[in-house]
Amino acid sequence: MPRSPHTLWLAGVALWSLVTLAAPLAGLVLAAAEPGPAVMPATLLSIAAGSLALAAALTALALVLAYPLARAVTAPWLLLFVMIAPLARAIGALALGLSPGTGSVALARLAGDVPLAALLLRARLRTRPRSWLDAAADLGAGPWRRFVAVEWPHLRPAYALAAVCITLLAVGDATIAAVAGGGKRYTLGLALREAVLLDAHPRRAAVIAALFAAIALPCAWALARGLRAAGRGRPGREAPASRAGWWLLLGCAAPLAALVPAAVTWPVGQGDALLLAQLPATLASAGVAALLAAALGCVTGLGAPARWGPALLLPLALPPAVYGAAWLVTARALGWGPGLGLTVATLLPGQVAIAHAGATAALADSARLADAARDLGAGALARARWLWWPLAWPIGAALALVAFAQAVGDAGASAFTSGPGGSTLAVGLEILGRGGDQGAVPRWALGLGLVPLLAAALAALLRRR
Amino acid sequence: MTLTLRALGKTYAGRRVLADVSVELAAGGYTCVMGASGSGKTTLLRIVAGLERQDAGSVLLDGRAIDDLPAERRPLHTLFQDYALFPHLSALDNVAFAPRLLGVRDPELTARARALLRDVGLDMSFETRKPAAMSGGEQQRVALARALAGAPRWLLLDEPLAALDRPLRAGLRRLLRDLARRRGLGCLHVTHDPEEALALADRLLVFGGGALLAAGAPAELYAAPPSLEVARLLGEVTREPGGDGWLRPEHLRLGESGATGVVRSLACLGDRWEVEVEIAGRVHLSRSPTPPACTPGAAVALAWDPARVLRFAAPPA
Repeated sequence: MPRSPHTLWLAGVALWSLVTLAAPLAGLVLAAAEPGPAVMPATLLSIAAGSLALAAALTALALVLAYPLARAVTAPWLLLFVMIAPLARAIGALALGLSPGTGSVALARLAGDVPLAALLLRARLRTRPRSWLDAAADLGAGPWRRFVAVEWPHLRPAYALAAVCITLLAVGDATIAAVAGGGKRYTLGLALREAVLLDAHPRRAAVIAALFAAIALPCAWALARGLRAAGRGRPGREAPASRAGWWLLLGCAAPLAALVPAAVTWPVGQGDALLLAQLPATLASAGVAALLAAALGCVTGLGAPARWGPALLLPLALPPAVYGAAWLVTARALGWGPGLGLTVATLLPGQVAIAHAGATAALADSARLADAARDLGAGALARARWLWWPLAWPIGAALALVAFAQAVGDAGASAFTSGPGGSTLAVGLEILGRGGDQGAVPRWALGLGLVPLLAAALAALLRRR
Repeated sequence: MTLTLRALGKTYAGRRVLADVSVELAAGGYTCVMGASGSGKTTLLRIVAGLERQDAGSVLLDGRAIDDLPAERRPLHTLFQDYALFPHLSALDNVAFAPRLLGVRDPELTARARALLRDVGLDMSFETRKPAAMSGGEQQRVALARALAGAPRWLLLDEPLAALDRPLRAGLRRLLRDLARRRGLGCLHVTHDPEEALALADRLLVFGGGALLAAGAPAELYAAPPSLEVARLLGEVTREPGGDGWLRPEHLRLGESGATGVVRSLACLGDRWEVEVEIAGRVHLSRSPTPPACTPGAAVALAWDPARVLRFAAPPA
């Protein structure tokens, strides 16, 4: 693959890391250096332990349930469920009649985590080593023995990748814990949010951010490694479909379905008007962030040397709450107030990381095509025009839709950066939800939940092209 | 356009894959590069194509070094082992890729691409087909047409027939030779199949451990290889009965006089027969175009022409 000079990439990645990671975290550290109340490490440790225990339990459950789901449901459907906003799932879990607490948090999390694990697993299931399975059967291995000896080693990279992703999401979650936890269930992400927004305690926030940063580096490395391993393998024999998977999918859809009765029966009120007013700005900022992210993700996915993968994926290993908190503190120090600009800047690194991962996987085969194009006389411009643009634009458009849906539904980072009163739809919805609005909240949560449906339909259309 | 490789060297992660390779290839000649897996054949081709940079040495065309010329500006095109057809383009557009870059426009562009598709034996129904809708053999033909479309002076072929079945391979082999001759095209063809190399090459280069072990006319190298390693890469050899030399199996005949032994097995290989004969605990191979008049367990005699015996110097300790 013709790479741009490595020094250029090195400079680019260094600049990117500085702007997206070092600057916000530095702001948080500087704020923490100022005198203030004690951090109370015992309380923090207890929250961290509880948060990790819940994350571990949910991860284990999600990994077990993902297998039948991955065998039954195709990738576009799984992606659709992954893209449903956590806030919509949390409000939906409460709409099912569950009382706020561990049960509703678990349901809201699993409704997104199981499809995510299944999505990662499915890519690997499609490359099951047919000849090895046949050889094992021929040598007398039964279904269980074949699973243990052949299938499990093949699936392990995808399981490891899913475990890292789900644990990070669960530990860093603030939205679901705040809405569905109802104050009974704390995560490290929620503790960070409260330290910044409720208690104005930058030292505690910095300690929590430092905890996240400490696990982010190995996790980013594991993500890069897992993505590479999960993407390897030749097309093989797909696993036979599992009926249990369809029941699981219905279970994942239950929180969203529970929103329908209230959404259609309650009359339109003042809450709807408030949220409607936030819609244009939300769509505009999400659109800008999505287009930028998809473009950058495609460029890095095509051209960045594989060794820079962890640096580009690092933002995925930091929860949105850490970004939101760090950027808010840094922006204040720089005289930059909360608002849509800050929200876009905060969301961008994570979205670029997702787009980079997607583009890397989708364009994995591009090196040999680039060699062929060069060999036939295509210079850099000709390759961009005749090869990269036609190959990458449908992928870029699909990635932009994913990023758009994620940005519209985000309340994790925007809770910090969008400003007083909630200048994005999701943050406004969360505030209204905590205020107990019973008509607008389910209606708009359902709307948020259905954004990915439109995005997925468009992505499927583009994929067919 | 003479292609000269001068003292080429390349190392990957401390492992030397090419060591001081020097050779001069005449314009319009068909040269095959043979060697075991990992002997540096493909690396050599990629260096000549400009897709990889050598650590030492130089590549010259007509005596002019092209080391600083990027791949896209070298007058050579490659037929890749996995074809590397552009998946988003039809067969016609794949073939038209290089001429379009050279400024050729419709209707000449389409006419030229169509003529090339015809030349490689593909009819008009293939024009709009994308690579995913073609078989391996069809993709290979499109890739060949694509590589020829830019009118290269040298064609580099990286095991182009390796993934095809035997009848397809024979057909494409003939097509390759015919096209190269008609166009006066120089070809540098990497293969590990001795039959392919012997059938196609005017000149054969044999590689081992990154070094050029032998170079010469294929028939001469087959008949008088400079080392046992080269002899084995070009075909099977069997021990000289009772001696320390080696023989090609077809030079060891079943007869009425000579070294006597017992037939262990015999097999029909289609166009020839193979007999395993055990003499003094050592098994020898004999091949003949006619069915042998013996059965397993029978006593037979093996004869050979002493002039055919291959003798090699002992490898340095």
